[in-house]
Amino acid sequence: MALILASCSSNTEEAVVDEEVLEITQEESIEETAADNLFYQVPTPNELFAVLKNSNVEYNRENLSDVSNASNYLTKASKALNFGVYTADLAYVTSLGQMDDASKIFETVRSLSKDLEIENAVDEVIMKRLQSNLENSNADSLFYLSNETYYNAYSYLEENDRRDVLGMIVVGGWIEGLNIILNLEPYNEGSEVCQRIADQKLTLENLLIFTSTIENDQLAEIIGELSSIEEVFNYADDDVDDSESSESSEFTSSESADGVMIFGGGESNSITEDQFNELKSIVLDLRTSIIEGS
Amino acid sequence: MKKFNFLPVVAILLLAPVIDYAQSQKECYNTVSFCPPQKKLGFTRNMQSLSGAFEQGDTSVVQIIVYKNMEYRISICSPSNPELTGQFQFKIAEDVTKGVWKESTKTFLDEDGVEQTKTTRKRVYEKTEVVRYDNSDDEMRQDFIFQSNQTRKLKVKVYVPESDGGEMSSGLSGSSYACVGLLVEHQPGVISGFNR
Repeated sequence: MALILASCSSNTEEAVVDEEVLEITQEESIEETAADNLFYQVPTPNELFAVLKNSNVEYNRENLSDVSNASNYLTKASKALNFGVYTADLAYVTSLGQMDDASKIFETVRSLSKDLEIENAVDEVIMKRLQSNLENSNADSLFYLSNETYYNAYSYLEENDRRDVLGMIVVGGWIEGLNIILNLEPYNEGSEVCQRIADQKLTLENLLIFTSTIENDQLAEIIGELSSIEEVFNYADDDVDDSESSESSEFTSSESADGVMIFGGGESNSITEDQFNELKSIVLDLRTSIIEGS
Repeated sequence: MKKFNFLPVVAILLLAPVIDYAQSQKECYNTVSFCPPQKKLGFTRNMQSLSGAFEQGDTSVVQIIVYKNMEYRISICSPSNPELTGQFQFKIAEDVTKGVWKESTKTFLDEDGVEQTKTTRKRVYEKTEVVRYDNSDDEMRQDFIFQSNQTRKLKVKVYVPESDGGEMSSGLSGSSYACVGLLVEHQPGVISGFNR
């Protein structure tokens, strides 16, 4: 991108000599790729909803994928993507202590895990603990169990070198998590929810690098569709004037009262209302294509 | 005389480190489950944890994303190489990309032969690394608890020393791997509380 700024000049020769033409070139750089001893990790929906747990977000069942859809998924890809979708739903409902819905989704995740041969994701031990926690209305333990379910599935797939399924689960969960938080409340600049939405720019970057190491045509196809989401997140970079460093962006570290290090400084992520609305529309379309998949 | 075909030998020599690495990776799955968690402090296992075959004498980098309002604990273990316990050096670093204007001035003659100057300003993004924590400055602690005032990407750089106590180095050479678990745990941020 080049922008030419020309200053006004007079007709005198002296003035012409002093003329300055400013040519401003903005260079894009920094491409990241995976390497042998460089690993890119992606936070799970559980971590996202753990962050929002104490933010007074309202529960809305409309944000969930209908559990009755589960029987429609026939291919490995649709099962894996929707396994991710339901585990994100599970993280959302258990983070807000919604016992009734949690039970149904646990059953659905269990059924899909059997289809995908991820035997240990929701095993008998987890089901017994689930039952006991449902009876005792122990919401925190349910949230913990939903994390364990995801962890078990992830570890099992990694151990058995089934990275194609793993990649689809991670992508499905990421899209569902983003769709849920985009529908938690209307755009509210600077709100906790909007900040967490803006943060997904970072998780998307790592997700794209993480999945780039997995060779699978179906996964590649859905990853290709994430490019439009990345474009919307990147609008912010084009709009923000970061020409001068501000005091708030200086890096600091301080200690809390009980000795925990707090990393400070740097630029916080944000999105505009236009970006919010555009993201909402793109993510909904993508999510719809996943949950309607066969 | 029959010609000796070097190709398979060269292929084996070239592939050996790759196979060795892949095999080592496979053997190291789930190492992180052996790293002692801190459930008592309220932490939950985080999926950004990593198990892997890390080459001894080399540095591995794990890029994680930490959320604002969350507290994280990072610890390292290697049950397969107990002699490395307490020896891991790790740093937490952050890449900072800063846009700066770089200005250059050129002198040229215009069509009337009059000397002119043209200043070009170029927007250049420079990436530098800020080290947020280095356990070698903290008595080689093998775990670290921290929070962040905003969501950010962090790089956890793990230096795996060689078992014979040799100097830490970078660069992929040799084929001695250690199974290393990098355990990441999280809990909703508690600036102060009863947990500790």
